[in-house]
Amino acid sequence: MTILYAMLILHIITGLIGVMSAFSMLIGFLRRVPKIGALKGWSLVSAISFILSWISGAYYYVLYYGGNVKPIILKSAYPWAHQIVMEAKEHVFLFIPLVSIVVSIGIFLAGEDILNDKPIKKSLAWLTAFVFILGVVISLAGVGISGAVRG
Amino acid sequence: MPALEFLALCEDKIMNRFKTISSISIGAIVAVFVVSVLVIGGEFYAPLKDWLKATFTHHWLGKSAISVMSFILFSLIARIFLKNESEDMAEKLLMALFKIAILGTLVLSVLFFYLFSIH
Amino acid sequence: MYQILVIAHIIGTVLGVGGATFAEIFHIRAMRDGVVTDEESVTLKIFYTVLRVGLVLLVLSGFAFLIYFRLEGHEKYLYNPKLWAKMIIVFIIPINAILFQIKKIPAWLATPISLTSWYTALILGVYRTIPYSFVEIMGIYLASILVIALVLWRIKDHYSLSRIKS
Repeated sequence: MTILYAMLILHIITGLIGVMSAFSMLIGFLRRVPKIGALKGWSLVSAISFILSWISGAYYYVLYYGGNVKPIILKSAYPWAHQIVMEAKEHVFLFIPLVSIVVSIGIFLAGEDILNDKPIKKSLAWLTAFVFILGVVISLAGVGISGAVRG
Repeated sequence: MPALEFLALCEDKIMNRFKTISSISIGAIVAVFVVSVLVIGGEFYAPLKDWLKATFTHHWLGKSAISVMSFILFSLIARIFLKNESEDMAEKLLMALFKIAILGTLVLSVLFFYLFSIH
Repeated sequence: MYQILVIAHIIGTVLGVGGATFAEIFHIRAMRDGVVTDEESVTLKIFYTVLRVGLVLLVLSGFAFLIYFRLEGHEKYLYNPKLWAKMIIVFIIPINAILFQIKKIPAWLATPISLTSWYTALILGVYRTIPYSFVEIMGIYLASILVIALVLWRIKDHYSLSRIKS
C-alpha cells in the first residue's frame, strides 16, 4: 500500500463520513426537539472529515492524478469523465468544507435558537441539506471518474 | 470541543453570536464567489490559470488556498465592520449562502458541460 | 480483505433489510389499536437505529468494494448498470427518510419505498450479472414500489377489519 493509495482511500472514506454526518445532522434538525449535543458532535465530525478529505484528495490529485490518471481517462472511451465530471467535482468540492464550517459554528453559537425553533434553524438545515446532497453527488461522481481509468 | 464552547460562552455574554454567524456567512459567500470567478476566469483567460500554477505550483491548490484566505479575511472584515447583530440578518445571510452555493455549483457544472461540448 | 468486505456488506444488508422489515411489521401491529404507545415507539426507534447502522455499514463497505476494484485494476465493474442502479436505490433510502420526516411524502408511500429499496438492493447484490439495463432495472424497481404499496395496504386493511370484528 503506497502513500498515494492510502491518501486516495482516506479521501474517499473521510468524504463518506462527512456525508453521513451531514445526513445525521439533517435528521437531527428535523426532530421535534433537536438534540443540540448530537448536532454539535455531528457538525464537528462533518467539518473535520471534509477538511481531511480535502487535504488527502489534494495530495493524491496534485501529486498523482494529473500526470498519471488524467491522461488514461482522456485517451479512454470516456474523456468526459475528466473533462466534465472531474473538472466540476474538483471545484465544486471546495464549497463543501466552507459551508460545513459555517454550519458547525452556527450550531455551536445558536443552539438555544435551534431548540426554540427560530428561523435560523431552518437556514442551517438547508445548508446541511446542500452539503449532504452535493456530497452524495460528488461521491457518485468519484465512482464515475474511477470507472473511466482504463487503458 | 472546549475552544468552541468557550467561544460560544463569550459570544453569548456579549450578544455577538449573530454577528459572528453573519460574518462567517459573508466570508463563505465571498469565498464561493471568488472560487467561481477564478474557475470561470481560468478557463477563458489562460494567464490567470498560469499565474495560479506559477504561484501555488498547481492551479487547483491556488484556488483552494485563495478560497480559504477569502473566507478568513472577509469573515474578519465583516466581523469588525458589521453593525447589525440581529438574528434576522444572520438567518438571511445563511440563506443567501445557501442560494449562492447552489448557484455556484450549477454555474460551474454547466461551464464544464459547455466547454466539453465546444471542444 | 475481499472476504472481510463481503462479510461487512452482508451484515449491513441484513441489518438494513431486517430493520426495515421488522419496523414495518411492528408498526402494523402497533397500529391495530390506532395508537402507538410510548413503549411501542421505543421499540420502533430501536428498529430504525438498527436500520441506520445497517445503512452506514452498507455504504462504507460498498465504497470499500469500489476502492478495491479501482486499485486491483477492475475499473470496468464501476460502470456496471446493476451497480449504478444499486447505488441510486441506496441513496433513495435516506432521501425517502428525510422527505417522510418533513411530511413531503405520505406514510403509505414512504414505507413501500423503504422496503422495496432495501430488498432491491439485496437482490441486486446477490446476482453477479443481470441482463437488464439501468433504465429497465429502475423501471422494475418503481413498479415494485407500487406493488408493495398495494400489498401493504391490503395487509393493513385486513388488520383494521380484524380489529373491528374483535
